Amino acid sequence: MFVRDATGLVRQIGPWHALAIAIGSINIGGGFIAFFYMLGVFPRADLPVTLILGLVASFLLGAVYVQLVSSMPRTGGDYVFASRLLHPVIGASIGGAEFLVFATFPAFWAANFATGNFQAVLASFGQLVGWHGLVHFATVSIGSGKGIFFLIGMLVLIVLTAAVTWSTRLGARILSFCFVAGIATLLVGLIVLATHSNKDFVSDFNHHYAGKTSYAAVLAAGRKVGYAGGFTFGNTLSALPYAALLIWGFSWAAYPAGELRNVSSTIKWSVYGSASIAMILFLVTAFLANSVLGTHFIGAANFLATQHSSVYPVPDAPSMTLYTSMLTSSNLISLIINLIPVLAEIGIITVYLMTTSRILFALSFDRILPGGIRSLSRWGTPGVAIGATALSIAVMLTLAIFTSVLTVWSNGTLGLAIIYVVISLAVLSLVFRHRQVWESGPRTLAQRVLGVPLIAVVGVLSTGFAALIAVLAIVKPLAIGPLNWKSVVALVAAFSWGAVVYLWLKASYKRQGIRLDAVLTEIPPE
Amino acid sequence: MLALRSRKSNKPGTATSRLRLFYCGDIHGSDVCFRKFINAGAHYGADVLILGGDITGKALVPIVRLDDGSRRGHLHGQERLCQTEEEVEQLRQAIGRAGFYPVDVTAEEMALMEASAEERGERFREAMIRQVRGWTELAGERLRDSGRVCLVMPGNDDEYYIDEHLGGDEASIVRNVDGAVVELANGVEVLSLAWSNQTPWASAREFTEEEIADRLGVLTGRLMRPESAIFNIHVPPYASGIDTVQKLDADFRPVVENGMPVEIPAGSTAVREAIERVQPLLGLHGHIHESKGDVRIGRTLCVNPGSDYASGRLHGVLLDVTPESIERHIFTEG
Repeated sequence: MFVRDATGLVRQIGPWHALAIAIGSINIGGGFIAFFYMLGVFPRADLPVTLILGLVASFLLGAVYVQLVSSMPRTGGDYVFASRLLHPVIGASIGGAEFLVFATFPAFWAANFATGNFQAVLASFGQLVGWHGLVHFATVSIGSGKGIFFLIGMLVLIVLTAAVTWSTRLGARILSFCFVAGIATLLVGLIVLATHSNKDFVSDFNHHYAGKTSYAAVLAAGRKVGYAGGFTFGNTLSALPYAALLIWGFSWAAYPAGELRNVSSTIKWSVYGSASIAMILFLVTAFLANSVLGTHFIGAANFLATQHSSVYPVPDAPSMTLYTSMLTSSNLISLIINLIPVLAEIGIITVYLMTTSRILFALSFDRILPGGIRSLSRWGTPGVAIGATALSIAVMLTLAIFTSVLTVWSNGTLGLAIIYVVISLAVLSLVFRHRQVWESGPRTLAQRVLGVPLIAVVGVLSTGFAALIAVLAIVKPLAIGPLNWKSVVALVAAFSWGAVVYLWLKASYKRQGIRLDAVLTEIPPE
Repeated sequence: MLALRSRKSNKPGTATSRLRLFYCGDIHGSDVCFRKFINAGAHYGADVLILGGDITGKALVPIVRLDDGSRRGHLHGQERLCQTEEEVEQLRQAIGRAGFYPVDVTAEEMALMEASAEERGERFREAMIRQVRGWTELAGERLRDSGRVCLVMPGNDDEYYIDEHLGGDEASIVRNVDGAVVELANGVEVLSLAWSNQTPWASAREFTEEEIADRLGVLTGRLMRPESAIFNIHVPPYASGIDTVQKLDADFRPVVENGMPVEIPAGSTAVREAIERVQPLLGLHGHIHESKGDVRIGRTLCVNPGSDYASGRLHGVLLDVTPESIERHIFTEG
């Protein structure tokens, strides 16, 4: 290829930079604690198997995203893929649901930050420096009042919102710090686990809860309520969306894609490389947790705490950081271990504040949300979109702390599976219905199998995987969470509001002589 | 001052003086995008079509004839080996859709192109003129009886030698309006300028901010009703939020800090100053493909629909314009 002197001909972001962007978007530190939630819902999931299957599934989904983002690099995102490649109503439905999901996830993490992890860091810092007042404040004064939890959660949300509104670069610095410090603290936690045995943990656990409970008591309580130990294929499979969630963000390096770069190879490197590195770290964590803490113990403790809390014999919720801290007598190492979830939570909230504006912008460009959403702050950041996102997170945080309303989101896994199905179908639509768009841009997996492009085969497999998860969510409600009328209504409402707004707007624009569907569909070139 | 006829011959200042404009830019040699542009009037019900610059492609893609008779080309970093003439034609079309110019060459010609900047320049010139001529003819055929107005202008990336092939005089279907003020049928004046401020690439029509300010001073002086004018200026106003680009290092690589590309404004201060001073109704801009958006500078609505020409999707903006206001606008992706 020969190029002339023309603007925009930038060279590609190098593979290492692309990998750094992607891996910085994956919540590596969160993986240290997140699989405990997975085991709470799916106590008999074989964690390493789930993670490995999750990696395979994520490669399928990753291939789908690589192709979609390579073909539509400027305005990527699930909403755009679905609305342009399938139908505007489907896009509006997906965009609306994702906005709610993207507000709920960080709210949950902010609630976790406020209801325990922040206090643990304060207490361990107090112990390290011998500041007993701080220890007392963290463990006694803060107490367990919902009001104080709310204030702590709101405080971190406000501080991070102010930071990313003031400067995108500052937001990036926070993310970068959380990533680097998160990796460092995670490695310390893994080293602590790797240098101890299950016998050490049983001894330390019994010592920690002397007179209150014991390691054996947890296993016995689990057996009493039906936790038999061992793994089931159903639980292992059902936990797959959680495994995929752990590496959410792996496709984000694709978004700065530009012109005339070797986009496809760079994106592949960043997507598959970051997913693999993250999954290796998660596998090491899972392997060490199983061998040191005990597979049955982790399963029983999480099963009891999540589904039978009235007979859970331990005063503290199951926690990877708490259990790992028990293995060390060093206050400094305890502090470092307690920083793992805090850094992860700050990172997650920051990521969502910075990226949800992308969905809002896309919805706003298509008029599904007001145009004012796109206004920039005096510092040049998307202040209104960030503010709207923060407000949504604050509402969800309030609901999470003061009510049980958000339990209706227990079928969020089903919602996620539906989104995966739609995105996988979008790549099939790209290859077969929008062939020109596919052939114009960088093509990945273009080799043919029995005359069919490989990317289409991957799209079918990815659709099948996501559909399987959706079916599991419906037929195994006990494993996935209560499938009651409230959760179904919540799910339907989440997927409906965007579509309803779109249809209303379509009718409104029609009265003004504008066909909204024409605005979002391809102009016939011939 | 040139009066243009549109499908609706309304009087300025009345409720029926609304015209629907479709604006896009930066198609950079994409044949499919140009075809979509000329069909956009019928698709969206637009009265006036405006193509705001950067029309020609940026790259030549050689398709080299090999000793065994097969052909080899590279597209998007991927090698495409063609055994049949049908496969070659498919490759040519894929190259064209991406906004590049396919050129059939022998190994010797390929070596000459690699060695000689003049040879490459001549190949570019031939390809661009051929394409622009073809497009103008196609637009003439498609729009002749439609009653629609079609205004085009080059951008900073377009060489001067395409101008004489880019539309004709007042009677032509397609009008090259660079450096002119024309009047639409509802009395709204359109001021057009292809120039951009200086970029790291030293493209064809780059000028200093002072030169742009002088040129805009002359053009705005020709406006009869500046408050109802449209500024069709390729480069967006500086620090407007529709001029945000990735910062580049000396090797044209994006600067990445803390795991994210650093972004900076790259618009024109002279354009911003002219908009702030004249306060026209509307500013139509392109140039920065990744900075799609709209913003108010005083009372002036400035829009940049962005560009994704390489994918064959035409980004544009549809606006209902009266001499008093922009009644509505919506971004499109065709």
